[in-house]
Amino acid sequence: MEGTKQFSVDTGALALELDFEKDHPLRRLVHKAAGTVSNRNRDLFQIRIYGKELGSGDFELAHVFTAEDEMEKLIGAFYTRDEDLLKVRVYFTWNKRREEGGSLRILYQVYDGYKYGVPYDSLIRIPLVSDIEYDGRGKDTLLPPGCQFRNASGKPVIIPMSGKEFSSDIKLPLVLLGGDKKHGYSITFPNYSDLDNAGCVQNQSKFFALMDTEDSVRDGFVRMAPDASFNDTVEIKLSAIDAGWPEAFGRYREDWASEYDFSEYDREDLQWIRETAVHHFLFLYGNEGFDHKTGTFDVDGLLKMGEAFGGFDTVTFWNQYPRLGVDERNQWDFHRDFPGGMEALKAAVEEFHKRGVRVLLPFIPWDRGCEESTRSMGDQFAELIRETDADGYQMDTMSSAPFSFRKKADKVKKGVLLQTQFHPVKNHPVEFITSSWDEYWGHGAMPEADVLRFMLPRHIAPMVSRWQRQEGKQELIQRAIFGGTPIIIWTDVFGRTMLYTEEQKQMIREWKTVYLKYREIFQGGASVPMYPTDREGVYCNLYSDNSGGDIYAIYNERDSAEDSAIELWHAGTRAEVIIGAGRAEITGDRLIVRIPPKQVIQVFTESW
Amino acid sequence: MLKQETVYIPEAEYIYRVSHRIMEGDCQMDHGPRLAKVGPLEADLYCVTNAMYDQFLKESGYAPVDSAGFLRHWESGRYPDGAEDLPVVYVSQEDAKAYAEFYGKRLPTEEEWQYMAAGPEKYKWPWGNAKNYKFCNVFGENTQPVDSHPEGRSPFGLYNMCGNVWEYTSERLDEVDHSHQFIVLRGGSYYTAHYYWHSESGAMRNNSHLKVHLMGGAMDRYGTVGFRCVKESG
Repeated sequence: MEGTKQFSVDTGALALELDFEKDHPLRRLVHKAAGTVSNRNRDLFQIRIYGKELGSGDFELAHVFTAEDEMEKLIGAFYTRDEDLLKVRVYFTWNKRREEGGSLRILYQVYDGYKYGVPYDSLIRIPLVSDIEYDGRGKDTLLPPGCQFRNASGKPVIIPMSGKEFSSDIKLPLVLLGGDKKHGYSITFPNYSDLDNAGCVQNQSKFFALMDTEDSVRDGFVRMAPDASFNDTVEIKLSAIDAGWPEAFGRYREDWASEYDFSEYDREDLQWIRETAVHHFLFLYGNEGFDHKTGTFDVDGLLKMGEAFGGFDTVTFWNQYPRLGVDERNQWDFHRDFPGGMEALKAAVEEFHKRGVRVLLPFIPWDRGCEESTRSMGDQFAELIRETDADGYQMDTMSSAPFSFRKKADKVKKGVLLQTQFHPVKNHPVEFITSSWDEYWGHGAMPEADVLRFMLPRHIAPMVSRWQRQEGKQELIQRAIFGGTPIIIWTDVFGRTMLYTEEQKQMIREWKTVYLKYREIFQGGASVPMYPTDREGVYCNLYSDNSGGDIYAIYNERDSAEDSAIELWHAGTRAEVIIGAGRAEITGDRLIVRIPPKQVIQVFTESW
Repeated sequence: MLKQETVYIPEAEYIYRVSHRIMEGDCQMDHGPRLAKVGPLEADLYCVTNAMYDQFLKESGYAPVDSAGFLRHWESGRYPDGAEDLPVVYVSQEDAKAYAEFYGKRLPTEEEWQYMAAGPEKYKWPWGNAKNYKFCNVFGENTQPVDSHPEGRSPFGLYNMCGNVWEYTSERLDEVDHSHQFIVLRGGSYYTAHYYWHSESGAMRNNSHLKVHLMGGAMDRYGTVGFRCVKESG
């Protein structure tokens, strides 16, 4: 193929015409299933450095080559610009067996020889990303990678993983859909970049993922930090989409999960958390579950209170913060000094167990004395389980933990739940910390959908928001129903009483019944946030395990009752409103719903 | 006590590409993609064990110029009882090369190591495309015998190319301004440092590597890094 500068790429799903003799080498892109031709005459890159803006036509095309092995095909184009000591390599690769669904990977490697001996600021723009089109501007819908959906007031609806830039590798795709909202393209940025500072060659990959408005995508210039080597600068993975956002999200989730071993979630002894719905946070210095006259637990009193919520499935003891720190006693001492000592704690756990309620204990990682190490903390962590027979830990402020804590707990008891306050970070923690809180703090929490809940539905993340007042608690319950999650009842917030109304308790009671009845669907791996509706202001989350029934959680944020027609995920024969006061019926391939203003409903559809 | 065996790796061409976790400092080398030619080779089925290395020392009389940290886990010049089939560790890349050269072998290149681990179908992991910790020694307490986890063998039958111990390749690289030297490790090990800012660890994909700066002496010998050898076939 040496000498040839024109190439046709056919991945099975995409066709690409390349002519490296042109200033705009990408001649056209074809969505094969739909036959749509678009993205004509795109340059491969634009680079800003030394006050210049350089396209591929400003470089010399030094070399073009092709290669092929048993699995992949490759086209490489090497560009040089000697006067600025710059080189750019662009590679196109695709799997011959369509193992990536006919996706095309385009990899950029920028080399900077530091013309003036020191690195200068440089930016890159990828026209295929920033100028991407399907039916054309005005007809297309662009869902930016940093924020796909906003509500009427501009608030992001899908809530990303929080924390530092390196906490999560969940970076949703850029999706561009044509006029039918079905066909289009999905672009992801596969990379191993952790940091977004300018010390890393790939830091701009993170920047891509953070593009949260259409304007920032269209502008497209992002900072890069090349040096005189051929590190990967940025890689894009382009896929043809035939079934809209649900397909793009599902494919991304599949890609993400393929890098993990989630077998810890299959452990038989840890399945019990998946059968729970209503949890209670018990501040032991109050009187919700502790009788201060007798200095003993009031197990029956607490569970009686819980009946109004449908019954507490777990109770989290809390006897640490904010009492820690007055003297030198640490969290372990607090258990020993508890009225009746460790024996009383153990007896209380036993009483809860007799009534079918599991108990979580607090773990406070920041309460570590100078004499304590990670090793000794882990030993104490396991020893407390052995002494009390508790069922797990609520791990304050944590989003990761040493794996030794898991192994040490396993040695003393089966089924010990590790539940962190924040969602576990990427890599190993998200594999072995199988539960965490979905905690939020702000007001105006509807509509919101927690991204991890949909990326890893088996990770049980009960919803909690400690400071909500009457109106906020209404939203908290709605957020749990919309998000298809369990809920934590926390009414004694370290001494501040934050009660629910009787109507709210009834809502939670009903929600528990529904959640447990359909929990396998709610925890199903095919669930999709922001499933498309045909009405602005009407939002839908889809829950599905692809096994006979789907649930649509639909929220109407408008001030009037709204009708919406929602295309069915699976063909359905029967629709039933399982919670809320709306109406639903199936007409052909559509679910026709009516939702009262500011309300959330759930509709179960029986499929095939 | 295990005897080393070799596996025939036929001549092949494949599109080589390697990636890695990007941290500050990056990794100044060519990561592909490019068409790489490998083989034909005879590749060690196992990592070199303590007993094999012990035999090498006796046969060759090898002694490193700087012995700091050399075979630190051995006692009085002898590996611990029961450790004969564990992979030898606390050897530097030079110590590994000395072993290989004595037996007419060499360390595999990055391109060779990756092909030996991934096979012509370019598996992500030695056993296939799905990550599975049951097939390798990761998040463990110590090394395991080099013939452990037969279910995790690579397409060519090679043992423990993921987990147990990191493996040396033959490369030794200068950074672009020749101010540093580094090597790259493959496969991951049983040991997992728990914090984010620690080096990457645990199970590593076939097409990834870890850059390690060199300093000399004991700093270049690790309790988690071993090696296997190859030689040209025919």
